[in-house]
Amino acid sequence: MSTLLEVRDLVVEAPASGVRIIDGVSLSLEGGQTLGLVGESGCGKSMTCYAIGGMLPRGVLRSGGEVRLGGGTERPTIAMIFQDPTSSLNPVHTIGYYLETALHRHQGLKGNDARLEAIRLLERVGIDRAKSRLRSYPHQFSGGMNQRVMIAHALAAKPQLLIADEPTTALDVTTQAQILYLLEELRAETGMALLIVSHDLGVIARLADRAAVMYCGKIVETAPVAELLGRPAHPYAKALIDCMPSIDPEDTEPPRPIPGTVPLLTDLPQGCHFHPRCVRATAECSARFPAPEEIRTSHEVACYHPVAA
Amino acid sequence: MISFILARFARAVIVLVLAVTFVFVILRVSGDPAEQMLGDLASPEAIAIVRANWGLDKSIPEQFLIYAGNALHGDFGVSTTDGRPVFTIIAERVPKTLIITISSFLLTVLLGVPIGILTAVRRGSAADKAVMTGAVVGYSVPSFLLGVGIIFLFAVWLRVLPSSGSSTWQHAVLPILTGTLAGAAGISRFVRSAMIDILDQPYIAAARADGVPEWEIILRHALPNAAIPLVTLLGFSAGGLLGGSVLIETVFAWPGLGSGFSQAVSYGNLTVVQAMVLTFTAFMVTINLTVDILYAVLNPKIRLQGNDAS
Amino acid sequence: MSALLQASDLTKAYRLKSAPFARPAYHLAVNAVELALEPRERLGVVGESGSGKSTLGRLLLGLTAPTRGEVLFEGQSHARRKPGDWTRFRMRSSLVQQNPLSALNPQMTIGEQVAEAVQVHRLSNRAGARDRAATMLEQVGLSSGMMNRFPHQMSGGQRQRVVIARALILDPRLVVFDEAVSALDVSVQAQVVALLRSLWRERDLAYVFITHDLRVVRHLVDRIAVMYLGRMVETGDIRSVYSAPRHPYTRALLASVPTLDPTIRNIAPPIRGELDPGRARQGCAFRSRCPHAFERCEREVPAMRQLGSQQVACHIAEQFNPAPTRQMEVAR
Repeated sequence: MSTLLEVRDLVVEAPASGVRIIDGVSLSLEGGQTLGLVGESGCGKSMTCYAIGGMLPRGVLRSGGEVRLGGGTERPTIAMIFQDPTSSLNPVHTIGYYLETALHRHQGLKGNDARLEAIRLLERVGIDRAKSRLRSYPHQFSGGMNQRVMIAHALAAKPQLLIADEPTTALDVTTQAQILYLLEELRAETGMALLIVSHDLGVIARLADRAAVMYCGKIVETAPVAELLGRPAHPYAKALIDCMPSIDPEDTEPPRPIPGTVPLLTDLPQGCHFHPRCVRATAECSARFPAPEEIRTSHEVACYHPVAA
Repeated sequence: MISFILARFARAVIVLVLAVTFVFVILRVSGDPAEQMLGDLASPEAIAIVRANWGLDKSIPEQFLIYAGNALHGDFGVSTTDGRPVFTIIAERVPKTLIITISSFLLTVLLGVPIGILTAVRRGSAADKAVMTGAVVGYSVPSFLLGVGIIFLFAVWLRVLPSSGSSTWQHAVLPILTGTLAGAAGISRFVRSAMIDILDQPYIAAARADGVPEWEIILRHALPNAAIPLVTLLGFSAGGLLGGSVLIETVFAWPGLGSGFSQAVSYGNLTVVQAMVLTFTAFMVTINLTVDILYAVLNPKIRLQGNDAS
Repeated sequence: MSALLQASDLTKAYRLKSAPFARPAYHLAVNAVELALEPRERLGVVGESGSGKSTLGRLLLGLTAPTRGEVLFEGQSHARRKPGDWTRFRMRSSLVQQNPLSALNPQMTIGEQVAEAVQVHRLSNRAGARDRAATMLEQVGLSSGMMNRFPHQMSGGQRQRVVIARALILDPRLVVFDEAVSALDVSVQAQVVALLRSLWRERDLAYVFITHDLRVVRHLVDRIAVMYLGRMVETGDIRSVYSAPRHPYTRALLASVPTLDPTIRNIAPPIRGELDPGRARQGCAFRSRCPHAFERCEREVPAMRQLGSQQVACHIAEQFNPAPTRQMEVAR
């Protein structure tokens, strides 16, 4: 199992405002695995995806660290799907055009070959009457169907790594279940690796093998997902898990809020960014940002006072 | 789609009829046309004769019916100043106006759209700022002033082009240039801002992530989206050119509909004025109809109304 | 005790665009909904897109008129309210919506906005209104020193607190929350949920909490109503419905919610297919996606009936084992 993706000390800045959106993020992904990136808005998880995919927006640059794709000789193909499927699809292009151009670009297919393969892809992602759908436009489809179209488009590239940035956030919960199942099936079928970003720990729990928790541009904990959910070490990770509501009627505790608010990236606390809100903080925490330490097998945490097992 | 077109067409015809009726009535109600024709010093007997000759002594609805009946046969009466058939006069002048209006319009598009795209892609650069400042000047200065300025520059100072008349193709250059400058300025600003908006959209970022080359992004992904509101604006622009023809043709002494119209109004040339209003209205209505149809064709949300795939 | 709020046969139809001479088609955003809310009761209304829940919220507050049916507040029907009655109603009710940034005027300070309702209804002079606003802001966890700040100077969570303050300043008896916490981060959401719980404890307040988020609603309501394509399909107290859902849609809905249990994976989605509003006009709205639909579902709209401790609108709900399972009956 080769390392498909290796990110080391990635730094992404917006030079105009001097803000460091991502401040030294390191992660790795093996072929066939799923890594989840979880955090709240502004933590930098989406920007990490854009940096890996080479599509940082205007005014945002990668100013440090490296993104290495594939240990071997061939560079792996990456495909990406985004949060709001309907606005990620060009309103004046038919679904057929969208898929067929991708097939032409990635597999060199043209004309009828491209059309047939487009139909096959649509059927594979669960869209019926695929042949007539080729002539449809995004606005004629629901959000769930458009997300399936985006997944079909990603599959056209035969990717070894699929990056999914909040793929189900804009969808209804029943549609979300369909899309998550589809991603699971496709992953098993194609053996591709998956980097999934979500603010919803439930989605991460479902899809990811390992998960990394981000806060204010840094990764604070990385662990196998069962470990993270069962024995979180970083106080923020633990607080995040505790503040999530659940549907379990036996769980009578209301979600426990985290005191304080997420700081602005322009006004980050010194040292560990979470320390002003952390019950376990000491003087050391405000001096320097703690280096990540491996506390258990493949379980890393950046904290001077991790929560005991 | 067909019902959409038919509905718009029916509306266009109604507008035409209403416009003609309106002008017809106004011209007869806001003062005596016979007096207008003969001038201030005319005697009451002369006026009465003229009224009888031109059928102005009949009731307005009756006059209208006679007019409409004749019009449907292609007879729009004769000019009150020189007795020539109005149809002929119009037919002579229309091509002249169309030459400069259509040329201006095409050049406006051919200049304005690429400039708009280029400044959008290079937004913030020195070239962008320079061009946009020029554009502001272009559409702020009234067209006739622009026309006079151009005459001064090319005809009087540089002496490379004639300033009036219409005998050679060189005579057409300056009027066309005037119309183009004003129009291209506005179009380029609009295209620039529409493209900037579109280039920031998620679906464009997604296309870039797919590795689509930038020129293809601009031409095949962004521009078709910008075309939708652009078509509406071009409709206004074309209408503006037509209306502006009155001024431009007068400034350059170009014998088209516009200059003919202003002459006819000042001479109280009733029949010609009516026919010209009809002609202008017909053009405007056609432009609007074309815009409506093009808009529906370009915008899949309108084109496929009621045909939801899910 | 008569109900604070009562809706009967509440229906809202929107005309669909159709060809020039064809018979007009309608979309029933809300379809024959019955609802009752007692004083100090907290009712949750959940559903996905197209369920009609937001429209229901607007109907309940009289912000839109029903096509059929009526809404009674404190015994008086919205349809028969005169302008003076409306003013009184507006003072005793409030709406809190999803997006705090657009609910707040960017040109006014938050102090002014919270005080505005007091001033508009002439309940106090300017100074008195400002005092009340300051007190209210403290109650929602913001310092009164923030009164002179503008919305753009505050975080999303703070803005939503301002919106809540504005909604509660006149001590309404009824509040409708429409996706009020959906746009907030999870940690901020938890804060606002805690705030709403404590605010409710201190007041004589009943509310309707409309949301698509089945997780967050559990701690905010006593009773819950589930909607699908404009109809109410199940209602009951929250514990019963969540532990033993009866309607196939409710069961599928609850089974679709992702949990924090990483062992639950690779389970087939409880519902296949897409919303099909076209088929909703006759019979059961859910039949196109229900794995148990049979011919009665096609011809007859199921009526709400008591089943266990809930009310369900389904012809065959009693056949299901009430305990929810993860491996749901997969739709065909």
